[in-house]
Order: sequence, then C-alpha cells, then structure tokens
Amino acid sequence: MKEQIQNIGRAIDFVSIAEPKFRTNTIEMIFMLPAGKQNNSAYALLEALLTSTCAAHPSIAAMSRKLSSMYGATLKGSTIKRGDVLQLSLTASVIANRYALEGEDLLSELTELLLSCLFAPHAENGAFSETDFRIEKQDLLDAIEAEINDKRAYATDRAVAAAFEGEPFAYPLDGTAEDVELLTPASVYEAYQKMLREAVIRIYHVGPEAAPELAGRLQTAFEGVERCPVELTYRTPSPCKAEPVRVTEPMEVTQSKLVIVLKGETPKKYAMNLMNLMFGGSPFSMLFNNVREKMSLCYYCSSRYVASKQAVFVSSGVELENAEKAHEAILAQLDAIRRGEFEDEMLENAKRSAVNSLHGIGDTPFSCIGWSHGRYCEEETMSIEEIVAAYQGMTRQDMIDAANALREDTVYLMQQEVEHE
Amino acid sequence: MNRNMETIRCEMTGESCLHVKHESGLEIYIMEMPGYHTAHALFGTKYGSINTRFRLGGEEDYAEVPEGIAHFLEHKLFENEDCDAFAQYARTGADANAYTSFDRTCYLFHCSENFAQSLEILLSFVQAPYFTAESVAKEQGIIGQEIQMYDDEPSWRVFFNLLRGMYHAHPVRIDIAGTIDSIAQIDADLLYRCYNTFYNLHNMVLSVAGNVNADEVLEICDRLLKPCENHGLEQVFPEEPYEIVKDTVYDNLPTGAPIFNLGFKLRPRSGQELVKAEYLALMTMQTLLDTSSAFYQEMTEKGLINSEFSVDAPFSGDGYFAVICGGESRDPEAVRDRILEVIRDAKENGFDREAFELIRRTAYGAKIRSGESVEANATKMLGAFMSGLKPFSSMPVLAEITYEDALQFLRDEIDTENVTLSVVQNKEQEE
Repeated sequence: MKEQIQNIGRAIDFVSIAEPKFRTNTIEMIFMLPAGKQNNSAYALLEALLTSTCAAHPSIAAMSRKLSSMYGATLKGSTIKRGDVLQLSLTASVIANRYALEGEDLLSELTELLLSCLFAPHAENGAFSETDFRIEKQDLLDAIEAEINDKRAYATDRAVAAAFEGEPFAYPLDGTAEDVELLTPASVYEAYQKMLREAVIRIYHVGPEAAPELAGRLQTAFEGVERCPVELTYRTPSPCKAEPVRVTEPMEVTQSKLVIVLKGETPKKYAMNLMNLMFGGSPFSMLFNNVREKMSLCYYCSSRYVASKQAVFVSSGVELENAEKAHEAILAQLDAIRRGEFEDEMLENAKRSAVNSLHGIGDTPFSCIGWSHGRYCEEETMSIEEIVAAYQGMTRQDMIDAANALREDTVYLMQQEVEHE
Repeated sequence: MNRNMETIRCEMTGESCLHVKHESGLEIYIMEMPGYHTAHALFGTKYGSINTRFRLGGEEDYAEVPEGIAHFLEHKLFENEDCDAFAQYARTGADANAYTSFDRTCYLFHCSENFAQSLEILLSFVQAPYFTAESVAKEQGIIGQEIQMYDDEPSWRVFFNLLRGMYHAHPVRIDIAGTIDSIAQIDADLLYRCYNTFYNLHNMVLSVAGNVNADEVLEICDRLLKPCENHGLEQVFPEEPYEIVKDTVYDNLPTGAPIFNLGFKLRPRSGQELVKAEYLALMTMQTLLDTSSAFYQEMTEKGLINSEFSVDAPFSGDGYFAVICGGESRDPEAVRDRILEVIRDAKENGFDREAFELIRRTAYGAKIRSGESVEANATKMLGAFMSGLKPFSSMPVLAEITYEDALQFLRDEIDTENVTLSVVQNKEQEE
C-alpha cells in the first residue's frame, strides 16, 4: 500500500492511495479539534447537518435521491475521540467509474457533492436551516438517551468518565442532553466556521487509480478559508490515581458488567500492544482462557489497549455474585504476566496475531485510511515490515515490563438488581 | 484427478468463482482475488436454531431435540480431545470465530498468513467432535450467561418478541441460543446425534475467497475431508397459519426512546422464487419508506422517527418470510398507522416509478461494492448454497424486475392486516 501525501493548505494534507483491486472510490475528510464539553455536542450535530442536506439538495429526501442516482453512493458523518482530540469525519464512497451503466464520471460527482456539503450547506444568514436543525437535534438527543441500550458500551463509557475525570477524553462523545439543548442553528454554524478555520485537516482518497486532479480541486475549495489551525497533542497519558476508584451503578439488568481501567506505559513502542494480546486482547489470551473458559466466571472477558491514553480497558459480563471473584481473577492474570508466568508459546502467538493484523492492512478502503491516519497521529515513520520486525524482536522481559507498568485506576460495576425474598 | 467442477461467472460485475462438488459430498466454492493480502474461509452446515425436528432415511419417527442445541453444538465443537481450536489457530495467527443463525452454523477464519495451516485446522476440528458430560455441564453455565446478556439488549428483545407475535408454531419464534431450561436438557449423546445428522458433508459447504490458490485449497480438502454417505436427511416444520399471532407486543427494559419493529408476515417461498420475492419486497418497501421517501421526510419533520429508522433486508428461510422495518419512536403506533396508510394508498394509486428505479440502481451499486470485500465474497457464496442457489444468480433477477412486478407484489402479497408491532420501552413510558 503506497500513499502519496501532498500539502494543500495550512495544516491541510491530501493523501492519495491507489489500489487497482478496489471497485469503489472513497473520500474521507477528517477534521481534528480539541475534545470536551465545548465541542463534542456541537460537532456531533454538525456532522449530521453537513451530511443530511446541502444547499443543492436541501432535504433528507433530496439528498437521499441524489445518492441513489449515483448507484447508492454513501455519505456519512461521524465523530470519534482519539484521546483528547475530537475527530469529525465526512466520508463518501461511490462505485468506480468503470461500473457506471451510462458512462457517468461518478468520482467527479462525488467530489462535487462532498464539497457542496462542506462549503455550501443548507444554511442562510449565518445559521443552519431551522427544520434541519430541529430534526438533527432531536436525533442527537435520542442518540444520547439511547446510550443505555448497549449495556457493554455504556459500562465502558461510565468507566472512562470516572478514570479520566477532568480530562477531555472523559467527556461523552455526543456531550450531554443539556449541552445539546443550548445549541442553536447559529451556534452550530459558528462551530462549523471555527472548524473550517481551526481544525487540522486530512483528506484521504482511496480508489482503483490515483486522481491527480482531486488535490487541485480541494486546494482551490479551501483557498477562501482564512486558516488558523490549532496545535493538537495526540498522545496524552493520564496520571494513575493513588488508590483505585470504585464506581457502582445499580441497573435493571439480568447480567452485571465489570470494567477495569489500568493505566501505564513502557518506553518500548508496541510492547503494551503485544502484552495486551496475551493478557486479554485475543482468543488465546489469559482472560479468555482462564477467567472465561477455565473458571467460567463470565460470558465475555477481554481487554483493549488505548494507546492515545496509555490505558488498558478490561471489559466483562458477569453474574453479580461472581463480580468480586472475576475482579480478583482478572488482576491475577496480570500478576502472572508480571511474574513471567507464561509460556514462550503465548508470546509467539501474540506476535503471530499482531503480524497477521499488520499484513492484512490495505484490503479495504477503510483499512487503508485507518492505517495512514493512525501513522499521522502517532507520528509513526516505520513501514509495516519495520513494525513487524519490532514485534518479532520483543522479549519475555518486555512483556513483564509492560505488565508491571500498569496500575489499576478505576473499577466500574453495573450491578444487576437482585430479587429479595 | 478428474473433478466435478465448473467456473461460475457474473457477466454484469465481472466476478467469477470455482465450484467443486467434492467426492466427499462437500460443495466447495473458491474465489481467487488477485492483489488481496487476506483470505476468508467459511465451513458451514445447513443447521440452525429452526432445525429441531428431523429423521434420517429409513427412520420411521421424527426426532425432536431441545431448542438451542445447534448453537450449543457450535460452542462445543471448538473443543476437541487434545486442545481447543482457538489454541490451534493461535499458532497460525488467524482470527477465528463461529456463529449460529436460524438456518445455519458457520465456522470461519480470516488471515493474511499461514492460510493452508488455518484451513487444515478448520476442516479438522469441525470433523472431530468430542463431547463429555463435564464439558457439556460447563458450557451450560457459559451459554446461560450469553442468554442473559441478550435478554438485556432491547434490539434483541424487540426482534424476538416480534417473531413470537408473528409466528404461532414455526421454530423461528425461538431464541437462537434456546432458554436456560431447554439447554439444561442437552447432553453429550444428544449433541452426537445432532452432529451426526447435520454435519454430514452432503449438508455442508466450504467457501473461501481472497488471497487463496484453488489448487492448494483442493489438495487440502482431498487430504482432510472424510467421505460420508448421504443419509437422506428429512426435516419437518410445524404447520404455520398464514395469520399473525397478535398485532401488538409490548415489553419493558431500560432503554432510551421506545424502540420498535414492525413485521409484515408474508407467504414463505424458496429457491429462485424467493430471490425475486425478496427483491420485490425490499425494493417496494424501500421506495415507500426509506430516506428518499415522502414518508421519511414527513415522519422526521414531525419528530416521530429518527435516523435509526430503516427497512431491513427480508427475513426469510425454510417456512418463513417477512419484511421488517423499525427504529426508535416516542409514538410507535402512530408510525405504524402512517406506514399502513402509505401502503394502502400505494396499492390503490401506485407509487413513484422514478424512485423505484433509483432503488434498483442502489441495489446494483451494492452488488458491485460487495465484490470488493474478501469477507463479503466468501459470505455470499456460502449464502447462495444455503438458499439452494448458484452464486451471482440474483443479479439477472434484479435486472429483470419491473415497476409493474413491484406494484403487483405490493397489491397481492403485502397484507396490511397481517402485521405485528413490537415495542420495548421503559416502564415509565408505558401508558
């Protein structure tokens, strides 16, 4: 996978990835700003407003028909937190021109559509359309209210809020209902203007062939914007609490959820990632094999390493009566790695799993973008093969060091209601 | 070696795959995808949660087995006598998994390296069952937890409540994992019986796509597949009335806005007839209700639906066929009523022909798009086998469908009196 990077404005890069095997053209515009109370709700609403309508297609139905006429082209907005950075994406994808039944230039149409969404939204006099705003505001309020529907994700969000309290990462991705209620068509328009001015911008094109004209079109489109980009830090480690904090939340559910947040980092790049595969990030991990399979303490028990916050999240679904035992058993697995009580085979398996993932990069447009964007944020300069070599060179001691670097910070329990006689 | 094989091509998309009827009885589909790094392999059997009554050739009586046993078997098959399959996959680096649905159980892996070794593991462990009383007892605890976890999911609950509201007797109304009580009846002997019945290679398929070499795949198959006799599996399903069970089902669970599913129960079909009916049902309902429709615009402007609303792919299989839409709403009954009005009006006065053509374009685009994905290609070849069809056979059907077909289908088949609404809401949202 080869990427060609071109600077097309102040803190605006255009990245082109050509892969002849692909049958679609994908363009993703990524805008990065500080996360937190001030931005999260406004930008969650903004991405919806920018992708549901535009001046040329001023209703959801009109936009939808336009996309259908382009063989079901997709246009989506999203926000995610990358550590303390908020990332707003506008992503559009269409089948390659060679599949168009009437010879249409679909990539060109897609580019125009995306630029219309970004630079000519359905707005006037410095405010988004009232009707669009009302629809998308309600949608966002519903989404915030529905966070509880996915108990596993909800439990993780609650643990994050407690573990990273006071840091931008702790703030809910969509903000709160109160934040949303304060927004107006004009205030979101202001946020939109601010995003154009201040965001760090990366624009990706992935398709069967390079489209050299794209960079010029995008550059021209951004020429009218007076840019004043913010400085962002993509890795913001969080201090570990002196004593682990415990948060318990009773809920009317039949299965409790236990989330443990561990914090810490080793200077050796990728060591924590590999250690996490051994600990709980794979089906051959100690959490899966011991806590779930051998001890039958939970239905699921896995861990995830979040490099941007240098933290490991353990997530499990447990019976309330087993919650404490599961907690102890999870920490006991980490202790075992700290003491070096693991087979060489497990380390080799972790390496194989990591290498398998690395060599799979580039088989979907989103994997190409994810890889390229991750490298930018992580300031990674190594190639895939160099990272593979780094993994291959990891030792038992590296794993022991990584496990030793982790400290328990927060324990969250969603507690099922127990029937009393 | 002389093989019973053919190359199947799709003229419209340029895709092709190799189909082999292996002498062991297994159907094999292979799609080589030059330029890709990864490979995806699925080994599946036509055995899901609905297959609870069956007999083999020569047997007089039908056997009836506990609900949830197909899913239970899937869990147990990962363990063989020496070690479990995950431990073996760990040595190749592949990502492995399995799933059970209403009508199939599939074992799969995805990898970028050591494909041959991973395929050997897949074919070996699925053909080597090993169940003991102890391992069955342990799994009962784990699956019990899984059942409870799904019980807490509003989207799962609203869907199964809908099925119970639509189907009187067909086992599609039963949760795929069964119930705590039904899985308590499962023992090692029952698992062996179901395994020997449904994991016969004549009832199974291997589908691989991506960075694979057909000769290598077939060499591994020749070496590891254990030939078996076709033992004449027969299945029966209870008689299912045309009518729904009830028109509304309500349930309580902590949730945001109430979530709802609206299901139109249709007459079941199979084979190529089902493919056409599925397109007609989906395209008609999408024309009337999806984001480009007047209905969607009106309902969002009134705040009655949000972006969660969608018309799902048709829900169909042996003896069941329904089209389902759903989402979130503070007044699901009002949404249902408006949907039924829109359908009645379309039956009488027809609907937007241009919008219908746009939906067809979208369906064509989706077909092209799916050909880009290793996983989607392996899955669609497997899906064709499960439906008794050849890969790519739906493409010409899509091209030939007309607006008149769709209108006729709407008038004859979408019955606004045969509809169930399922709602899950907070206790305090109840009136």
